[in-house]
Amino acid sequence: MKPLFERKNPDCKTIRHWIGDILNSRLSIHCDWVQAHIVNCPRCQRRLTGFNRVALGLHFIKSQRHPKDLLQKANQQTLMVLHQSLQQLPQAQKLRDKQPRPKFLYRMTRYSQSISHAAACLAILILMRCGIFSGMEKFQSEGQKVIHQYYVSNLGEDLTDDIFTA
Amino acid sequence: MTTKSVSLDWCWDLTQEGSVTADRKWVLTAMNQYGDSLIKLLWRILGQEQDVCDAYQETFLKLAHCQDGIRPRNIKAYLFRTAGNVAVSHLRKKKRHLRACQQIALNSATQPNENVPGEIDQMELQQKLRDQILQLPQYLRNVVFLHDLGEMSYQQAAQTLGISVATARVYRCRAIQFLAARLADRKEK
Repeated sequence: MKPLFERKNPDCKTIRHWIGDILNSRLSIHCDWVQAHIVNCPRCQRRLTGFNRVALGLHFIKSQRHPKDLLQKANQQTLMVLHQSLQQLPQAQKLRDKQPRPKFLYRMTRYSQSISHAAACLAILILMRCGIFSGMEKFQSEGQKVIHQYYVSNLGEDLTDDIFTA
Repeated sequence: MTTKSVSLDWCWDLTQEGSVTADRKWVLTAMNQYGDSLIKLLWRILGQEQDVCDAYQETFLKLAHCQDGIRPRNIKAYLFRTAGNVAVSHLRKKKRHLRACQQIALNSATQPNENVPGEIDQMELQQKLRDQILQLPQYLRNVVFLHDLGEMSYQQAAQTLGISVATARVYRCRAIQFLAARLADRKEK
């Protein structure tokens, strides 16, 4: 990691190289010295705006989903111009009806609530098994020690040993 | 005599068809394997349904006929690079067409639409970014396509393009700087 935060008065050239880092969140724009410079430097303001615009544009492009049947349509159009023998294969038929398959994590989001509930139950069971039962045993042995101590102080050690060993 | 030759032709067609099926079956396998991610990439580059279908078709036709039907060594790399190139040529063609239409509109003295200053127009920004990506040199553009639009990691993108991971990172950084500078300039004008 670069010693970015030790610099007090970085110049314009240095900030210029760090603007990329700011957008990649490796460096916060809320740092006083970054803010102080960018507020007073129109060139850096312009650069930052440019980077932000690129990030925003890419985000817009990525967030626009294609129609669900686009893969199907494209496959059908492509298969039409391929060799006729390929068009008749069962694999080609499957491609004609193919739908886009969402990623594994995305498919699992619908089960996320059930998974988290099951995980919570499992965690409670483990805690009960390890934490509470071992705690109970500890509590029991500590209690026995206290009673032993009480008898020793009131009756003496010999009598207490007789009582506890009996 | 005529009947004989026809029947021979028919036999020839049958044998040829059988060999073509066996030889080109890998095209369908590639379509099944990479079709989904290819559509996603093309959609992000082109943004129009019909353009995506056309570019997809052209890409697979090129694949089927590349090196006289010989299967390329790295099908994924071939497909993604071809798709990028095909998409770029589609965009350029479209841009030329649009320019011609605008020229006609100017000649007929119609008023252009003016946006409210300062308003972030999502479509406009997307279009500007696509235009600027087109202006990038090919080696930078390929990295942006694969890493930013195709959602490949640097390693996958580097493997596809046949460059090192470090080079891919440098290219991507340069591409973003270029785009940022161009978008910042354009807004001021």
